[in-house]
Amino acid sequence: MKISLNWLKQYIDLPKSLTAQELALKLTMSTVEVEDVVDEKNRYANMVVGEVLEIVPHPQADKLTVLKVKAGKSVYQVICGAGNVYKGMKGVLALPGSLVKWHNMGESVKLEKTKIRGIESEGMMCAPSEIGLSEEFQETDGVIDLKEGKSGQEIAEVLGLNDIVLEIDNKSITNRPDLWGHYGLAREIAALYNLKLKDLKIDKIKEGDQVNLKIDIQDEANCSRYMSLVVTGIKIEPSPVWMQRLLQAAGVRPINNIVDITNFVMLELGRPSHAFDRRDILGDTIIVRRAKAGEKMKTLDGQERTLTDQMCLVCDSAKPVDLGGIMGGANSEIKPDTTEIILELANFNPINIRKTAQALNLRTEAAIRFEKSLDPALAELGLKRIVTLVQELIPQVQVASKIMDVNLAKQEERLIELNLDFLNKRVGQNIPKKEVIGILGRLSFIIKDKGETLLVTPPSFRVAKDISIPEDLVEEVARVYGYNNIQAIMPEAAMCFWEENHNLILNRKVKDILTLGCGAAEAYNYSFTGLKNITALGLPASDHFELANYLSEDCKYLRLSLFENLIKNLEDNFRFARNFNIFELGRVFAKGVGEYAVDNKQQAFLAKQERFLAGLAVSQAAEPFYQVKGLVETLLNALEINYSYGEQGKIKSNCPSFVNPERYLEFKVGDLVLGWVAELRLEILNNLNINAGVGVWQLSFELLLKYFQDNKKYRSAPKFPGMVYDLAVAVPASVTWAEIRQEVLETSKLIRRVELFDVFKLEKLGPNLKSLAFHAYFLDENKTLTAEEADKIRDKIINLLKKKFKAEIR
Amino acid sequence: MENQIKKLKDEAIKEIKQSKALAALKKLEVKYLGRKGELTKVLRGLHDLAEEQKPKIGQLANEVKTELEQLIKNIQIELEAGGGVQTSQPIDLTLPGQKYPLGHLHPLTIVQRQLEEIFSRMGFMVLEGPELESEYYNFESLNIPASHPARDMQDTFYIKDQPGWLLRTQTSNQQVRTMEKYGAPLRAIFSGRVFRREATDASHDSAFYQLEGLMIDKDISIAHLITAMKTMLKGIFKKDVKVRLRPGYFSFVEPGFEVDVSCLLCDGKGCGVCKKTGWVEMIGAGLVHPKVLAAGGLDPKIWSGFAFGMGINRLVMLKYGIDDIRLFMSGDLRFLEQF
Repeated sequence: MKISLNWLKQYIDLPKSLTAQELALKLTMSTVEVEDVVDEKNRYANMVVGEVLEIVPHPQADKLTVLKVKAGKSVYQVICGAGNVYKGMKGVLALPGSLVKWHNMGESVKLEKTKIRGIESEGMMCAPSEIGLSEEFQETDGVIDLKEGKSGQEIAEVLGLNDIVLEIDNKSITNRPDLWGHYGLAREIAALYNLKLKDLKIDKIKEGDQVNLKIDIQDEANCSRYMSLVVTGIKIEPSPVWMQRLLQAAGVRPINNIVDITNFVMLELGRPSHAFDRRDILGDTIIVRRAKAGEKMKTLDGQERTLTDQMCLVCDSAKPVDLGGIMGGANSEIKPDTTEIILELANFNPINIRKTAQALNLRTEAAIRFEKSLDPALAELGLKRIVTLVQELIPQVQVASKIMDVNLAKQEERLIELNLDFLNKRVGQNIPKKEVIGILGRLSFIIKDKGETLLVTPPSFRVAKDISIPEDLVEEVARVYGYNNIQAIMPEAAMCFWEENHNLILNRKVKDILTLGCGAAEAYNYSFTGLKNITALGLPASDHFELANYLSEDCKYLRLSLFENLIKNLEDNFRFARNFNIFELGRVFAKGVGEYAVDNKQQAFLAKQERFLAGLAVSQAAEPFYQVKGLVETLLNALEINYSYGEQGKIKSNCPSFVNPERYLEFKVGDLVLGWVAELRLEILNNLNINAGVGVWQLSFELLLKYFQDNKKYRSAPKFPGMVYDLAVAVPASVTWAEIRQEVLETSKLIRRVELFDVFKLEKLGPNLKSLAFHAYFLDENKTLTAEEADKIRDKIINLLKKKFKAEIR
Repeated sequence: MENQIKKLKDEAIKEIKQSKALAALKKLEVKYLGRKGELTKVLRGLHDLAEEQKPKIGQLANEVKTELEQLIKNIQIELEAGGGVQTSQPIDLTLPGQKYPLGHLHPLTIVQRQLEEIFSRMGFMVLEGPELESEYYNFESLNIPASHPARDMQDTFYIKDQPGWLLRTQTSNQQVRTMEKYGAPLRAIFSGRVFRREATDASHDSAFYQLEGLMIDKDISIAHLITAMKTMLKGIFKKDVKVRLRPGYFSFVEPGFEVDVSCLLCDGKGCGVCKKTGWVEMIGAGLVHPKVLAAGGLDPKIWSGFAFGMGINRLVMLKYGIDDIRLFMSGDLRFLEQF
C-alpha cells in the first residue's frame, strides 16, 4: 500500500526535524514494515517536458523513428519506437541519469546515452509504465502525451509530484484493518510520537424525504449491514487538483469527483463504498441476495462474470447491480451526465469476499480491505465523510432520502483484564504503570486503573480479529515501548538430559559413511513426481497418493519410491558424467496406516511415510552390481548390523519391477528384508539412452534404526603368527563363491578368514569355467603354526574343492 | 690389530655402499660378517691377544660389526623398495598425489547439522516429524482457523480424496505434536522439508527447508526470545551480528516478531540482497499463543514459551553464494560435487 506523506500531514503535524526515512524506520520497528520511501522529486530527476520538433524514420529500422526533441534551450536526438508521436507533442523526456524501467520489468535502471541501430539516442520519450505513471496515464501503445507544461520544465513540477510516498508491506498489516487508510496510520503515528490527531471534518447530514429508498438484506450470512442514502443535484466534474494529487500519490487514477470521493474515503478510512447512478436502480430498491449458480453480470471493468451460488450480489428490484464488496456493475456506474446517486456502505462477510475475489481473480482494493474484517461502525463514519466531501465539492447537492441503515451486526464489546505483573513477566522487564497507561491511551484504548490490574476496552476499530486477549495488549505496550529498549536476558531453565537421539545419530552416521567412506554424493529430490518417472520405472500410478491441486504434471503424485526421482538424476547426470555414485535419504508415501495421528484424539492416523535410503552408481571401472553391493556391505558392517543375504541364484518374483531379477540380492535380518542391491533392467536403460550398467540399492531407514548397534568389543591381537596361502581354482561357472568360501571355512578350525581377490572367466579351459583366486588365513591361537600343518590343511581344501565342485587347482 | 680392523671397516663400507643388487649385498654380508667372514675371523683371533688389549679391541670389533650390520640393513631396504625410499634418485614433486575420493554431503545437510549443533549446545532436542500432515497440526492447532487465507488451495498442497490431509507448509506442524509428546518444560528444534504451492523461480521453490524452535518453561519473556535469537545468529555467523526485532504477524504467536539481521554482504550499507535496506529478514518468532499451548495440553496460566522459524535454503544460499534455489532439488552433480 502506498501512503502519501502529504496526505498524512492533513491529520497530524509531524515534527519539522523528522525525516521521512526516520518515520519509515519508526513505523517498521513499531507497527508495519515500510519497504521503501520514494521521494517523487528524486524519482523524476532528469525528466523534463520534451516538445517534439521533427520526426524522421530511422534508416536502419522500420519500427523506429529519430526525433528532435526540444527541452528548454536544448534540442536532443531521441530514438523512439512509439506510434503515437506527433509533431508538437509534449512528452516526458528522460535524459541520461533518469531511472527507468525497461518494458516494465524488474528494478529501475539508470538511463545512459546509447546508440540504437547505429544512431545515437540522447534520451528517451517515456511510456507510463516505464516511469511508474501507469495510474496517471493510459498505457496505450505509446509514450505519454502530457498536453501540459512548458518545454524543459521538470516533470515532477508539471505533475505536482512533490510528495514522499511510503510503500507499506501489505502482508504486515493483515491483522490491522484500521491501518488500511491514511487516517488510521496517522492515528498510529500520533500514538508513536505522542502527537495530536486532528478530527476529521464531518458535517451533520440533513436527511430528505423525496426518495423512498428500500433495502432488503436476504443473504444475511454474507451481508451484516447496509447503509445507504440518495444524493441529488450532482454535477460530474474532475475532482479538485489537491484530491487528484493525493490519489495519484497513493497510486489511484483520478476519474471524476464522485468516484474520486469514494476512493478517497477508502484510502482515508480504509472503508470501501460504492456509488450507483440512481437512474439505473429500478424502484429505488436494494436487495442483497445470493447469486444463482451460473448467473452472469458485467462488472465495471467491462468483464462479464459468471457467478456461483456462493457469491453475494447487490441487486435492484430486477437485476444485479454490484458484486458486493468487490466491484460495481457496469449497468449502474457513474456517468458524465449522472445527477443523482445512491451510496452504498455495506459490510460483507470477509471470508466470502476473499473466496469470491479469488474465484473470479478479482482482488480489488475494496476486496482486500473487506477480507480483513471491517469495523461495522465504520459504515456510518464513512457515509458521513462521503456526504461531507460531496457537499464540499458540489455545494448545491441535497440528500434526498432518509439515511437507510439495516444493521444485523452485533457490535462486540470487549473488556480485557491486564495484570501488570503478567505484562512485566511476558516482556521480561518492568514497564512503569504510568507508561503502560500512556501507551494504551494513545492507541485509543480506554483504561480503568484497578491497581494491580488494568481494565482495558479496545477501540471498535481494533476489535475485529485483532485485540482480544491480554497477550495482545502485551504486544501493544511492548512494541510502542520499543523492542530495542528491552534488555536481552538468557532464560533460566532447569538442567535436563534428553534421551539419546538414535534417529539423529543414525542419520549422521549413515551419511558420513556413504560420503566419507564410499565417496557418494548426497542428492535431495522433490517429494512429488510425475507419471513419466513412474512409468519409466514400470510402476503403476494407481497406488500413489495424488495431489488435489498439483502445479504441473511432473509434480502430480507423491513419491512411493526414491527411485522415481533418482532415475531422473541418472538421466540428467549421464549427459556429462560416466562415473557417479549418488544417494538420497527421504520419506516416501504409501497407502496404509502410519505412525502419526491425524489429531489429538489419536484415533485416526496419517498414511505411512517411512524413510528410505537409496542410491545408484554408474562406473566405467567397476561392475555396477558389485559396486553397490560393496557399498551396502560397508554401510551395514559399519552400523554393526548382523545381516544375512537373501536367497541366491534364483530369479525373484518379488523384486522391484525396474531391476534385473537375475541381478537382485536382498539383505535381511532374520526374516525382515532390510533392503536390496540390484542392477537396473536393460529396457529401462535403453529407454533412457544409457549405455552403461547401473547399480541400484535401497535400505529401510526405519529398520536400520531398529537394528544398528554400537557394541564393538576389543579382541587382543593373536600371540602366535599365522600364515596366508593363496589359492586359485577353476570351477564351473554355476558354482558360487559363497559355496566355495563356506566349504573352505569349514575345512579346519584354523582357517580364520577367506578373501577373494581375483575372479575371471577362463576361455582357455572351456566355455563354462571361471577362475577364483583367494587368500586363506591360517592361525592357531595356541602355538606357532608349522609349514607342515598348514600344507596339510591346504591339501585338504584342494581335495574337498575337487571332489565337491570339480575344481581344478591352478 | 686395531689398524687392521679399521682398514677392514673402510673397505667393507666402500664395497657395501657400491652394491647395486640384493644378491651382491648378500655376498658382501657373508664376506664380512658371515661365519667365515673377515670380521668374524678377526674376532676369533681375539683370544690370541694380550689380556689387557682384549677389551679394547673386542669393543672396537663389535662396534664395527654393528655399524656394518646397520649399513647393510639400510641398503637392503633401499634396494628392496626399488628406489622408493630415500635414494638419491630424483622424483617429480609436482606430480599429483594419490586421489582419495571423498563424497559430498548436500549443502542443506551441512548447514542443518551446524544449526542442530548450535541448538544442542543450548540444550535443545533435535526432532523431526511428518511431511504428509493433517490440517489439525498444520493449521487448526496453531490458531489458524478454516477461514484463514493460508489454508486456501492457492498456497497449500492438499491430497486428493483424503480430506484434511496436506503437505506441511511449515515446520510449525511439530509444535503441538512435540508438546503432546514431551509436555513441559521443553526445548526442541525441528528442521525439515516444507511445501508451498507456488510457481518456482530462482528464489522460490515448491519444496524447501525450515528450522523451527520451541522453548516452553515458566515466565518465558520477550527478553528471553531476544537473547535466544541473538545467540543463535551469533552461532550461525560465528560473530556478533546486528539483530533487530520488529512487529510481525503470525497466528500462532502473540506478540509476533520479524527478526532482521544486518546484511552481511554490504555490512548494512544497502545492496541488492537486502533490497537496499541494510537488513535481511531471517526469522519469524514470537511468544507461543495461549491457544497453541492449550492445544498442546499445557495450561497457559502456568506455562509460556517462545517459538521461531526460519528458512534454511536462503541461509545456505548466502553462505555459499548460490544464486538459484532450484539447484538444491536438482540432483545435479555439477552442483552437489562442490560441497
